Amino acid sequence: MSINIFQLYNDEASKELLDPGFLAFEIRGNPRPDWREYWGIRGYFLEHVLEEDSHYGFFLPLFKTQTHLTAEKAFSFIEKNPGADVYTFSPFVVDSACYLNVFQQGEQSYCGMLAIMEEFFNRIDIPIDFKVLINDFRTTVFCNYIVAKPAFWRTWFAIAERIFNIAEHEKSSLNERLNAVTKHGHSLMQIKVFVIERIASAVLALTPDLKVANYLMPLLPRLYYPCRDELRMLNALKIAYMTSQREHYLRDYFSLREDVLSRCDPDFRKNTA
Amino acid sequence: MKVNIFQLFYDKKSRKMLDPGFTPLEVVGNPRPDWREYWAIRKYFLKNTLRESDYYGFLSPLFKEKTGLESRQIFSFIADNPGGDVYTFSPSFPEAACYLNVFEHGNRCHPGMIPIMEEFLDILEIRIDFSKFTNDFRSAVFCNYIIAKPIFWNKWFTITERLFHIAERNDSQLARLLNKKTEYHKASLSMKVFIIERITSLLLALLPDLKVFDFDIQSMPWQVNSNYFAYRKEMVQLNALKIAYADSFDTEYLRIYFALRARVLQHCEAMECNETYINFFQVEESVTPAESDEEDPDLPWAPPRYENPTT
Repeated sequence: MSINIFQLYNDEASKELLDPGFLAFEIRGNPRPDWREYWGIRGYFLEHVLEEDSHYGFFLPLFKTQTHLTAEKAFSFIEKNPGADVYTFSPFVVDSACYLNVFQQGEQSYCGMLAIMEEFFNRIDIPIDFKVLINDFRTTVFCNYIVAKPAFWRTWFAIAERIFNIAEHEKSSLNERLNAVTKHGHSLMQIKVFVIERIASAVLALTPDLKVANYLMPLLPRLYYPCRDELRMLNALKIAYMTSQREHYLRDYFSLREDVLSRCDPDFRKNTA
Repeated sequence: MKVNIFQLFYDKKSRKMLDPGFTPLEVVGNPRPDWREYWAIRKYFLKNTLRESDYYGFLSPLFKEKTGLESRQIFSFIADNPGGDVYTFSPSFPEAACYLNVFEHGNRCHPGMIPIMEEFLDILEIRIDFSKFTNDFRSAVFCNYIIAKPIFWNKWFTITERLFHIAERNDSQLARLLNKKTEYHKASLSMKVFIIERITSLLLALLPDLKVFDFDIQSMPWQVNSNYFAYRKEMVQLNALKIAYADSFDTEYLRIYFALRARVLQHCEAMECNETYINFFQVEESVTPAESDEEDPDLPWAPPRYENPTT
């Protein structure tokens, strides 16, 4: 049993960002930058046999910048929480709390994502109602900051490869929409990258039997700090809805979320004014 | 599969309150009013063999008054939610939300309950930290308003019988504490009655695999201090925080729970009765129990005391 956390890089600049506590993993020549880190992970899974009892993770060079965690802290968290199938180190607590699931959050940033996801999951016979799918802190994973056993990765890779094949080989509207370019900060990226990023959260939400230990990021954006307890409350309401299926928890969730966003998100205030 | 719901009665007055859709169960002569309804439930379990696939429930004559529900609603709730091991119809929304568990609530109303419970559970070799033990709406059941299969009742009866025999032998400090009178509104009842009432909630929390359908507690009639009515949303949030804690064991949820709970209690009652406790896990017996301003509807119908003909 071993913990194999690789940190990807593809040039000198990204190599300089690596934490020596992780295993450096070069995407040599970076032949398909359009797939971002998936190209590296895919190459690994196609070329290696995974050990059932071992954990694997594939982190970006920006791991420390995005999570404020070192390799030492990540390993220490895993050591202190033995026996989990999956360890997550997802940043962006606010996005996790303030959206019912990562796909609704994605729709907010990349218009059209929900329709793509619905079509894709219907295609693979996993119908999901994204209006009620819940990702709580336990199952929200951004940036693929996840360290997991093959029990998780097999499912993840099976789904990700279906996306890959559609985006690479199929002549269809879904193919076109997956390859459509969208803005991401100051750069342009294809929407398939953000779709792949969210598969981990879908797998975790759909397989509640996986034992997950999630490192909850303690740092919040400054504007949200006064609402830190409300962010927890939002997560609690999501969990209560999941366990009871009582609709009133969702109503309370959306009401509190509006209150939090009104207080903390200037863009939300502007858009609803 | 048969649903056997008995409704207890003691005399003509309580008989008149029965819902004809339930099966009347007379507590003949009411020989041991100190055990309240447990005496009748116990007798039933000792004399009858339960069928594994059947459901059983034992409701008080006040069921309709406390829950606003008629027998047809109970049967249709069960029919609409097939496959449960347990169906609950607990009427106490604020009590279920505003206390981490039914024992914290009990300890506030009947100081000394938690230490007694801990001593009793020690005998059963069950270790529970009541300051972290949660009853949410699924598992907080007051008044024994529960319809369940033997998979539940067998465990319940095993525990209650241990308590029964300790109290009946009356040869230990624990027995004396169980039999000691505690305030219940303006009446005095033995602590054992309030502990027995809470064994259901203990078991439901300890047995998460039991499939429980809880009738929506928010639709129950408003019985307590009406100040709570304005805090319905907060009470739902309190319940969500308990569920989140039980799901994650993240103590931050408990911190937020107790902070919000304190605000609710301060607004709804603590200001009125000068309650100074932040939590109620350690309440000295000498402390005056918390009171609510409700008129206890059970009191007029408290089982009459008959002379035990054998003594």
